[in-house]
Amino acid sequence: MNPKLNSTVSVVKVSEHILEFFKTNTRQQLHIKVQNDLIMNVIMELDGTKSLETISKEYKVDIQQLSQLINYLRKNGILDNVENKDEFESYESYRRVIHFIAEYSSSHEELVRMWENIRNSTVLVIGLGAVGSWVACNLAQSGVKNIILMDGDTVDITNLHRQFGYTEADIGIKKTDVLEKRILEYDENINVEKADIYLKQETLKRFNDRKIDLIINCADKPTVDETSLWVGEYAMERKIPHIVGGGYNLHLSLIGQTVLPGKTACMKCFQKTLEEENKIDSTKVKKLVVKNRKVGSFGPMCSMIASMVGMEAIKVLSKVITPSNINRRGEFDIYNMNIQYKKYERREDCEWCGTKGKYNCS
Amino acid sequence: MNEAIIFKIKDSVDLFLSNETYLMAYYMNTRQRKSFKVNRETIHLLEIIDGERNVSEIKTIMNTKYNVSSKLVEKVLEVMLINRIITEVYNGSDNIMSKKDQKRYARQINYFSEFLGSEKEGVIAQKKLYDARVIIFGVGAVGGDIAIELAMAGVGNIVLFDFDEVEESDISRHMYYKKKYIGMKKVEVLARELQKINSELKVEIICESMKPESDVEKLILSANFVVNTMDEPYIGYTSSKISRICVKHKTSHYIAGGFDAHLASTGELIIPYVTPCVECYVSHFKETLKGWKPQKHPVKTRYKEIGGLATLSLFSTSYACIEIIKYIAGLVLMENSYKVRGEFLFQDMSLTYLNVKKNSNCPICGGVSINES
Repeated sequence: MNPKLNSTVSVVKVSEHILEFFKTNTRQQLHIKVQNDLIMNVIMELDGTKSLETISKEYKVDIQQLSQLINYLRKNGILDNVENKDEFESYESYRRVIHFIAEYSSSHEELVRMWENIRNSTVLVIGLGAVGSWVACNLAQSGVKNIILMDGDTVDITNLHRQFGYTEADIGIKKTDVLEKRILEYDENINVEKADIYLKQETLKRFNDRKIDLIINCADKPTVDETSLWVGEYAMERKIPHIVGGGYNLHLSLIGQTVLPGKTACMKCFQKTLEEENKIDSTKVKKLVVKNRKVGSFGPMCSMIASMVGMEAIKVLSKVITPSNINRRGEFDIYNMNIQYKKYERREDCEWCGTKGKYNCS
Repeated sequence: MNEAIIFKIKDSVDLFLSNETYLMAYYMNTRQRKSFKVNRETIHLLEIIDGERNVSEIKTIMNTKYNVSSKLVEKVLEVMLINRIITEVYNGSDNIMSKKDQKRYARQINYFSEFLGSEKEGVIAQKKLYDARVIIFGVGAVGGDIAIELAMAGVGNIVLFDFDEVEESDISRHMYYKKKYIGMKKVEVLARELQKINSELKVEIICESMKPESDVEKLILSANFVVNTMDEPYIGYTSSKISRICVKHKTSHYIAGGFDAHLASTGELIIPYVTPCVECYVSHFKETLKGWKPQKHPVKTRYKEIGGLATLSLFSTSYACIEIIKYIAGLVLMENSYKVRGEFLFQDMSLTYLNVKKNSNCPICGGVSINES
C-alpha cells in the first residue's frame, strides 16, 4: 500500500526547524527536528495515491532514506494503517471505531488483529442497571459481536431516569429481554446470550465451558465490594480480565479498577489495602444504623462512569492498548467536577495473586 | 414545632458513636466532620427517628419509655436540624408534583435533596426540570445523547433542530441509532425514541440546517436553555451565532461536543455576563494558538476517516448533562462554581481544564456585569 498520512494527524511547522505531528484523537504530539522544508513537503505528498518510488523521484531523495522516514512515521502512528479497508469486517458500519483505534497500532497487520480481537470477543456484563445498561449498548456500538447479559430484574418505572434502553412500554419485562432486543436493533448480527438470574457467589460456574474475554461487574447487591470479590475470584481462577463497573456515594462516583489476572493488582489486593486504610477501632466506635435509608442516584453520573468502563473495555479487548485503571481506582466529584485517582499496588502477601497465592500464574 | 412533621436522618450523613459518649457526624457531600457530646437519651432519640414517626409520636415514646420531656425533645430536634443531621420528610400536600412523578423520579429527587437540604427542595428542583424548555441544536452523537439524558431526567419540553439523516456508521456514535432508522430524519426518529422514554414529554422538531439567513432568535427566546452541538457548517460558526443571540437575551447555554479535535471535550456552560462566552473562547484560542497553523491535509477523503467511539460521546454528554441539570434545577449556584472547557483523554482517563477567562474587552459580553446590564 502507498504511504498515507493518517487522517486525524495534523502537521504543523511550529518553528524553523521543528515539525509537529498532532494526533487529534488522542491529543498526542510528536516533534521531529528538520533541516529545511523538504521533509514537510514530502509528507504533504502522502495522500495514499503515490508510491515511494514516485515521491523519491519527484523530490530527488534517496529511496532508502525515504523508506526509513516512512517506517519511523508508521511506528509512531502518524501514517494510516487502515488501508486496505476491505480487510476489516464491517468497515462501513464501524469505520469510526477502526480509525480511532488505528492511532494505537504500529502496523496495518496489528490494526487488523486489534479489530478482530474486539470483534470476536465475548463480554459478560453482570447487572443491567444504571451502569451496565449503558455499557452493554456501548459495547454493541463499538463492534463487540458476542455479549452475555446477566440480570434477574425486570424494568420498573423508577429505573427509567438513569438506565438506558428501557422505555415505558417495557415496564414489567425482564431487563435481559429488553436489552437483547435493543442491542439487536443496533445490529442483528450480534450474538446476545441471556442469563436471567441475579449474581450469587456460585452463579458464575454456569459459564465454565464458555470462552469469555472480559467480565464487567455492575452488580451491587448485596454490595459492590462483595460482588466484585465473587467476580474477581471466578475471573482469577479462569484468568479472565475484569472491570469493576463502579458505584456511587452521593456526590462521589467510583471509577472502578481494571484487573488483568497475573499482571496487575487483583480484587483481593485492593480489598486488603482498602481494609488497612479504613481500619477503625470497632471496639470503641460503632456506626448507627439508620432505618429506611434511601440512596439517591443521578443518571448522568452513572452514564459518565459507564463511558469510562466502556473505554477500558475497548482497551482490554484490543489486547494492544494498555488499560488506564490498572492498579488504581478513581473518584469523580460532582461538586468540583474533578477526577482523583489513587494507586494500589499488587501485594506479595495476596491470597489470590501473591507469591503463595492460589491463583498465582507465575 | 408542628407535631405532624416527620423527620428522617439525612441520607448523606453517616453517624458514628464513639465510647458511647460522642456522636460523630460525617457529611458525605462536603466531607465535613462534626462531633457532639451526647447522652443515652439523645442516642435513643436518634434511633427512633425513622422517616415514618411524626414529632408527636416521637415525643410520646421519649416521654413514656425514657422519661424525657416534650420540651427537651423539641430542643434536641432543633439542634439536629440546625446541624443538618435530620431533615423534614416531604408530605406532598402542596401538590408541587403529581404522586406518579414523585415516584418515578424518587431516586433523583432524593439525590437533589441531599444537595439542597430538604426533600421539598428536591421536589421543587425536579419541578424546574419539568417546566424547562430546552432547545438542542444538532442531534448527532452528543446532541442526540443529551436529548436522551435530559428526557430521562424529566425535562418537560425539548426542541430538536437538525437537518441530517441517520447513516450506517452512526451506529458507533448515536445511542438512539437503530438499523431500521437509516436514511430517516434524525429529529424524527429521535423524537420517537424520547417519547417512548417519557410519553408526557413535549417534543418539537425542526428539520433545518443552520444558514446565515436562518432566523433562530424567536426560537431561542422561547426557551429557558439552549444547547449547541451543531457542527454543520462548522461548530465555530453555529456557536458564535447562537451565543450572540443568547447573550443578548441573557439565556444560558451549553456548547457541547462537535469538535473533531476534542472527541471527549467537556464543552462549556455559558451564563451570559458571568462565564466566558463563545467570543471569549475564540479570542483565547486566537492567543494560545498563535503561530500554530496546520498544513493543508493531503488526504481528500479524510472527513470520512475521522475516528470516534460511542463511549467518548457518552462522556461529553454525561458531563454536559450534569452541568445543565445542576444549572436548570438550581442544585448549586453555578455563578460561583462553573467550569470552563476541559478535555478528557481516552489515553490515561485524565480530565484537565483550559485556562479561559472572561474577556473584559469581549465585543459580545465584555464590559458589562450582570448587575449593571
